[in-house]
Amino acid sequence: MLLILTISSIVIFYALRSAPGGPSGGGVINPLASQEIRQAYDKRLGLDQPVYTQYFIYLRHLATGDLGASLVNGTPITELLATHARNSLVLGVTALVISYVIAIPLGVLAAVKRNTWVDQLAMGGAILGMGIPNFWLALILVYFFSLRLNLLPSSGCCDPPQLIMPALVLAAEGTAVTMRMTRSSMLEHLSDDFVRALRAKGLPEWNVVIRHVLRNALIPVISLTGLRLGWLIGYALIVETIFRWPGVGYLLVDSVLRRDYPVAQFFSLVLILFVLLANWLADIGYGLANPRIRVA
Amino acid sequence: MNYQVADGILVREANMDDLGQPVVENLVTQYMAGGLSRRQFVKGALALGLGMTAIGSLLAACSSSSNSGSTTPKTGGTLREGYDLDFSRLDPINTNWYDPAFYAVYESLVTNDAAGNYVAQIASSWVVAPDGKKVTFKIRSGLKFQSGATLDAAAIKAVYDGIADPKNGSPLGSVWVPVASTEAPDATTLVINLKHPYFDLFNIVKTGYWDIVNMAFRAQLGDKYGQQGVDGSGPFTLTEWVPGSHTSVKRWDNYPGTGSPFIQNKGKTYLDGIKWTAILDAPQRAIQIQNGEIDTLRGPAFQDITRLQADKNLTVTQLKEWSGYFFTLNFGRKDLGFDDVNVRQALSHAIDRGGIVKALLFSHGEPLYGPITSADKSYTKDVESFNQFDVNKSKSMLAAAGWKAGSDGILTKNGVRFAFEMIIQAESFNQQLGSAIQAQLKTVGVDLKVSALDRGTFFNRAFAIPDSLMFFYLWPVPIDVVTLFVNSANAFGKGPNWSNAVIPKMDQAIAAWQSAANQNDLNAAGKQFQLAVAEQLPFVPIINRDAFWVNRQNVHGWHPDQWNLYPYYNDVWLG
Repeated sequence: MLLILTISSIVIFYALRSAPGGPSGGGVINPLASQEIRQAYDKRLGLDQPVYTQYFIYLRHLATGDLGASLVNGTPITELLATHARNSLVLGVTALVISYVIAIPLGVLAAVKRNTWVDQLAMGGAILGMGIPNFWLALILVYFFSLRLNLLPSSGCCDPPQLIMPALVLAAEGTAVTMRMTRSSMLEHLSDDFVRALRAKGLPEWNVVIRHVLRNALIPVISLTGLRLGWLIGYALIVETIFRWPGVGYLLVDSVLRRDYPVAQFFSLVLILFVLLANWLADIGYGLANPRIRVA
Repeated sequence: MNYQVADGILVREANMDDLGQPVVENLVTQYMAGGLSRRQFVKGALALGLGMTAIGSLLAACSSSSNSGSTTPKTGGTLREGYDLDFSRLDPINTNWYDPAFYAVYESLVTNDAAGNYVAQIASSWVVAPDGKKVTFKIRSGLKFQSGATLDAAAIKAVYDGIADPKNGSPLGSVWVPVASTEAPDATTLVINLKHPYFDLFNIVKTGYWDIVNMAFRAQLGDKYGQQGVDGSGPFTLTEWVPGSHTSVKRWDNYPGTGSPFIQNKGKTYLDGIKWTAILDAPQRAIQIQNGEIDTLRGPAFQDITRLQADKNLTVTQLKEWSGYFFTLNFGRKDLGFDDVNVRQALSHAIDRGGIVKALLFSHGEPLYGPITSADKSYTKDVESFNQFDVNKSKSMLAAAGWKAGSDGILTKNGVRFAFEMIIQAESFNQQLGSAIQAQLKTVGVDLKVSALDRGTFFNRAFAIPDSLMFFYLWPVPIDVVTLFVNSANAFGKGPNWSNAVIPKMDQAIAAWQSAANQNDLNAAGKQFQLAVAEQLPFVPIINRDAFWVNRQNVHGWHPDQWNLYPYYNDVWLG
């Protein structure tokens, strides 16, 4: 993990500095200012030095716990991390909860009512959920719930009503995937021998489905959770930007556009670390859910 | 020429194109009390010599205040204002541009009332010496900065000297060049000594870039000034500045009151605070104000104006805007003939400005044949004899310059194709405008490639002088900022002369503008300047858009006007 983080930090560091423009052109310095003023600013930040020198200075600061501050507004990165990570966490957890609360019951229902209109409706919804681009879904939701019905704010943070639409959009694709996976996994187990035995013993159908089949069917769904955390990061970049939800994704996009190097560098690494941890959790979760893998 | 101040109003002895404020105020009071119809008000204002721009501005201001169901202001609440640009650093000396928050946290020596008169703010009166080379301002006594530090003549001198000091990096120093020195002989007297008459001085010191800041506090905060804290003398103090998101201020309870006569509320503000939200996605702005997420808004998308005007919960105010779009042509591209005025004029004739205004601005704007809006006091219609849309003329001028159509329809000369790149900032309207220009130049055989860049890349490329770039300026006295784009002293990376245009006629016009001794001289110099730009084309002017402001009916005392970029918030209250 440390190796991946080190390589990533080098790539990010070089990529940011290879992009045309720099902090002096990104809004920190007046656009009408002369080249001389811009160069003086770059020099003050040490941007006139070779990139590898800048990188080692950056590492030295990191090693001493100095994460730096935003070039744009001077806010310490630790402070940005506290506020933006919290906002992203609230949005991500809400999206996950929405996703599972909708997807698992519908997936179970679709499997139990296989080939009925309920199944077709649920699967049609799932296909839509996977097929609709989230930026388009966001616009549609804003159009209906904000403009037409005046029910929800179209953007902003951090009141509960402002959370609803971004969380729904962020949850959409995950809900669809989870629903399909729950259904297919349920169908696989509904025809298992142990299910027939339970039914033969006279257990009520709901008991068979919920207590026995679903429990087994959830194993792949649980293992998917770790991977979904990684996907959420990718979608959050878009959803947070559209709804102006000040999370880590929004901050990262904004800092890259402004060439706010310290912020862009740090939060890129945070996201990479998060994805690595999510994958690690997925492995652990799969092992916990499926003892055969743990033994193996 | 002498100037005197009565009730805080600058009154000139000659060239009285400004009005005595009390007469205008009476007219406004009668109109708002219902004693005059709209028609009678317009007639009266015309009789007083007000231009239609000023009258429109006054009516707009009256209409937004007349929305009130109650006339007794209520204290409390936070105004939520949507803003169509990103927030710039709240440091007058080194900001990118100034935002509405400048009108809340800072004050300047003088400002404009709704009729365009210069009126008192920090200064209570002023006198210009007969030779025009010295301006003496009387400063209101007992003023403080928000930190409690004393705001006196010495504090103002420190600000102006700071702007002039190259170490502070103010890019606007070139318009301060006519100032020889500043003096603060006592706490309430500020003297500005000029190298030569400089009537434009008032236009300069009224802008947000010359707002008065506590220089000691600024030095103490260093780079973080304007980001983490500010110290001005306006009625609100900064609470949070988050570029790309929002700026918040709260009421300054020790505010000593305004010195501006047109502001009704002479004490601290009614509002508890203001929160400006940057809404950079154009369609979102109309949605948010219709949905009640914000109370007031600057700059809705043009396609949404009609819908907003039809909404009974909203009042839409339309004003002329002190702005303009233009594109540059790099004089160094001699192979393309950009150093040849005939080629530049030929390209300009290929631009259908009227068509662009109709199609992209929904007719909420006007073609720019010269550098500035027709709302400006010194605007001359003579510029309209230049740069008219005429494809045949464009083609014949290019042919006369030796350009011939190649097999693909693109012009060639000496083996060089007439193809070049224009860089624009990646924003939806810029992209539409860039595409329109691309299509129009294609009709005369010019192959334009439009590259949309993010802000950081754009300005980096701008100072490397690209083939062409498109730019939008916003400034309360447009000629002042346009001089920066065309001044030969700002070419070759020294400033924003991104064409590298060195045109003696332009420099002469700038010198005339910067040494005008009175309003007549200033208007004459302004005309000379506009004609020089329209003819010589150091850049190619395109269009000027109108400014739109929207407020919900619960907002009172909020008066965007023609002469100030943003409204003052002293009188604003929420019903």
